[in-house]
Amino acid sequence: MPLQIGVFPFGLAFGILGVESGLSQLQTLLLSSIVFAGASQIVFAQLTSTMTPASIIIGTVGIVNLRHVLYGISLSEYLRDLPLRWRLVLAYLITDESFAVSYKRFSEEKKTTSMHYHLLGSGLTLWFSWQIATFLGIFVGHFVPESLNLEFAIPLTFIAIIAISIKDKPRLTVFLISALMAIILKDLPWNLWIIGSALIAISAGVLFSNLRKRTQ
Amino acid sequence: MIWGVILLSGVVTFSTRFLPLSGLMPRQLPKLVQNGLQYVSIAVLTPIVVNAVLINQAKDIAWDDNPKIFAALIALLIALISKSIVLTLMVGLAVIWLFELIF
Repeated sequence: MPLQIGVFPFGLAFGILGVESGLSQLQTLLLSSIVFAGASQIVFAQLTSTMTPASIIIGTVGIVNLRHVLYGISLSEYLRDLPLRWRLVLAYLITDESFAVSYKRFSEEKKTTSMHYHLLGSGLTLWFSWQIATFLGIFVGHFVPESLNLEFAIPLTFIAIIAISIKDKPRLTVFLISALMAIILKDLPWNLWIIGSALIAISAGVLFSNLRKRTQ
Repeated sequence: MIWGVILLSGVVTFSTRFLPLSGLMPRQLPKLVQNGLQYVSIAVLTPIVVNAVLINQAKDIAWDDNPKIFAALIALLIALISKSIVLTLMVGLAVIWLFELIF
């Protein structure tokens, strides 16, 4: 249940933002079904509205979604023996939220042959909530008064995800450096501040955690 | 043109999801890569937040008359304590609305 509640304001905000940033209603809606990844859709809308070259948009989307690789690696222990059609469908449904609930379930309970239905369930639930929320954002969004600042739901959702992820000193370092770099690099052309800040912060995190291991 | 970018973004996104399940990738990635991947979420989301909260359309830092900074800091605090996305959303939006009401 909390899955849908959390994702709903975010999807609504994306629907509004998509149309506002110059995408057509259909493009905004289909971004939610073709890409189906909140953070990168936000970035996509932001970058297209500021005349960013296509290669940079696609590259930024790729970097933002790299975290899925980690989810896939964790899940592959449970899913790698499934038929290809299952792996294709389940891969498409991997999101921060569905991964969080289903991986927890997988790692806590005994392996069974039907456990992948849990991921199918959490993934589809999220998929439908996301499509409906986007749809409402596109078509009903302009009735929402501007003073409600619904778009602020986007950074708020990210703040929550970040805060939950800061579990140790290397991650805190990554947080602080990426925040600082976002300010320093803000004037880079083509919105390269996203890729730039992310790569520098990731490198700093790797360096920091390796130095820490060596001194321990 | 924009449709092509949407489709390619979809392909790229799907690849990040499917590659580890495809059987084409080694089961054990180099330690350095595994380590780096763990930081991707924080490293990409933080700049997006900082930009949305702090930087205005003219690419300047908006310190003055900016309730978003205050709301974001409160939200961060709530998120650190509660670990709840829903609660963070509610409190953060409530702070912004309160500002709108008062000022």
